[in-house]
Amino acid sequence: MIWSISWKNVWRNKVRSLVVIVAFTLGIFGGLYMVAFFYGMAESRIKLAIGNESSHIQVHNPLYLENNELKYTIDESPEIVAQIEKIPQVLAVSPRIKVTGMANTSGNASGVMINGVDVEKERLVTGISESIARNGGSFFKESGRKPIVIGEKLAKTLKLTYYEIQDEDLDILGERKNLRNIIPVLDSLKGKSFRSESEFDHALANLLGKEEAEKASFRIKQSAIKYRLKRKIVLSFQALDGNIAYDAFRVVGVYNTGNTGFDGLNVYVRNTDIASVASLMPDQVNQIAILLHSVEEDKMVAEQIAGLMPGADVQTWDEIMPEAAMYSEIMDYFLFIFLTFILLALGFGIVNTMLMAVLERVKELGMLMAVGMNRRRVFRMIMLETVFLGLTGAMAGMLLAYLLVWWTGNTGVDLSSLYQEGLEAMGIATLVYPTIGWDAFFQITFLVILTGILASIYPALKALKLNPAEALRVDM
Amino acid sequence: MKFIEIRDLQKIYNDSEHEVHAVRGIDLSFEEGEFAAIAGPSGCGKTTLLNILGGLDEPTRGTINIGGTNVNELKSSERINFRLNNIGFVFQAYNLIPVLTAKENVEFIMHLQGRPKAERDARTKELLEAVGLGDRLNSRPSKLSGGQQQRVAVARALASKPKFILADEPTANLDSKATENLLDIMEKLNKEENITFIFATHDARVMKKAKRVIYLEDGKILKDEVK
Repeated sequence: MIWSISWKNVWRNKVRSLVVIVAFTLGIFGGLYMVAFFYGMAESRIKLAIGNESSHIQVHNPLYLENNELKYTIDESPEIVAQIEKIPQVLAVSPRIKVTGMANTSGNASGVMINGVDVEKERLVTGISESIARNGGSFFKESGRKPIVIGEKLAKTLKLTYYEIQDEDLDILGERKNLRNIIPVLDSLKGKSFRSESEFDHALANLLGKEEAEKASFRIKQSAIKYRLKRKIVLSFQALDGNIAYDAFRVVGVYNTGNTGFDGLNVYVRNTDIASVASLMPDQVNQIAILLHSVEEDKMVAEQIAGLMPGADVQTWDEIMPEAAMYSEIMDYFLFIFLTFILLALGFGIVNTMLMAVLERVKELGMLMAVGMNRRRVFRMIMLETVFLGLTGAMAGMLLAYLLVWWTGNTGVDLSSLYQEGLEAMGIATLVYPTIGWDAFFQITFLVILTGILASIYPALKALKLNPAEALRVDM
Repeated sequence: MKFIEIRDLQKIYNDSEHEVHAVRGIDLSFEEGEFAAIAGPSGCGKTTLLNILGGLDEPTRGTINIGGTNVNELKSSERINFRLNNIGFVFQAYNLIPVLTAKENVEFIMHLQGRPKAERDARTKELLEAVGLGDRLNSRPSKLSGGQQQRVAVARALASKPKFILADEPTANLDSKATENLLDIMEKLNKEENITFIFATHDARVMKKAKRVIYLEDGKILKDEVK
């Protein structure tokens, strides 16, 4: 009955209660959605990183991990790969020759990680083959002598890019409402080729004015960028015998995973091409990357593989990229800290409201104590009232947050027009799918109840200090 | 020993500057089944006496014994329980819980006592019928007239099956018809169920109905008149 009285008391002064409830609704909604958003970002970072970089499991010669040298190999790889492929949870396996080296063009040089891959197997394990840029050729579709696929970032470094606006680019830009009005202006740049980004920037600024150019340049450049395919890159690295080996490769593809750090470093060549240059045996590799059907089975499969290959080092994705795995853990702390601050602020609001509610009910509380409601019950009544007040708002906030997370979690939130460059540098996709686990909702419910209980202490103590005889005499 | 015995009761309020002697040595006793009024002008000490009698206030000196319990020796939490189980209160301003219906207001006291639901329901209905509100069980106080609210208050006071009922100016806010109606109901309960009523009042209509009137003046008994 005290529960029902407390609940009814909440609705005594509807406007005042609603103010607090709305404050809770907005606070909880805002906090939750923000965290869901960051969770979404973290998750997309992890997904991208697994899909393009680490895969679920990697196997190395333990010495290779200490010292990324070509000579630390896994031998007899075809048999091992065949055995791993038989594990039912395994989706695909890609053996790789991996060696650090230098990439040189006539324009520039850059340190790279050379990945010698079995093209067909690699296609199934990573998303690189699907991340080929527009106008960026293909992932080893063209046969020819010693092809190489590089990242867009590296292509820029090695001066294998240029900027030229073509009809098709204008069509693509025209699909964006906010750019439609500058299309006719851009038309005058059509067919002109700019060798560097700064030259193109300059031309855009002259054409559109500085401010307008700054706003639109990211999109325009994204469309206008072209790659000098079929150009030669010379790769050099330390071969198995300790000498520097080098060979020329022809660019057949340019990929863009959305993580510029990765794209600036990794180049892909056929394993047969690199093995001959490095004088490796055909069945020697440095790394076996494994993609599973589902990430949940990673530890179990890793153990199984470790059983198959006693001497090898088997790592799961979170061991390979602890920084990516850390993201989601950090979000848990974020959620906790955010909500603590939000609830602290809301808690003071609720103290104020409850204090008003107690002080205007002095006479009634005096009567309740006079007729025999003991202190514990009075305290409980006021505490429940406070908790109800907070919880009502929190429930509404959680519902709103849930609905918006569900909705935007399906459609995605497009950040590309705002921060694509920055996000790509961090390896985060520009389309964020907010997501949040049920545990967050439980955590919040718990924290709100705790806030309610804490916030009720002061008003309740005020009420308990009342002397029933005096309280009854107060003229309201 | 009498049912209620008050010995050498004194109450001094320490107002910021000077002391106020609200009650200056009262000896008084009540039998079970009395229908008594404590009367006198405002400031004579009748509300103070009633509050002390009801365990809402502590005397500066003296003892109150109710049915064998020395009330002023009880701890504050024990006093609350004592009030809950032994005393029914009716206040001048009705003081019902506004968010509860008439039925719930009466039931609430029995809920505090921990009585089972079936008993609460039956007794609530019975009591509200006794005060003539059998048809207003589900009305909230704001939908009831002053007289009706005070009758709910009487039903509430009776709900706990108290040893006696203390009523502080119960008719002060009522018109004469409602007053008469209320007094008739209380008189009937007194006669038929032998329930003890003690009023503090300066309402002539109440004094007229009372079987005993104790006149106070300046914190002392002026006259104790049994009709």
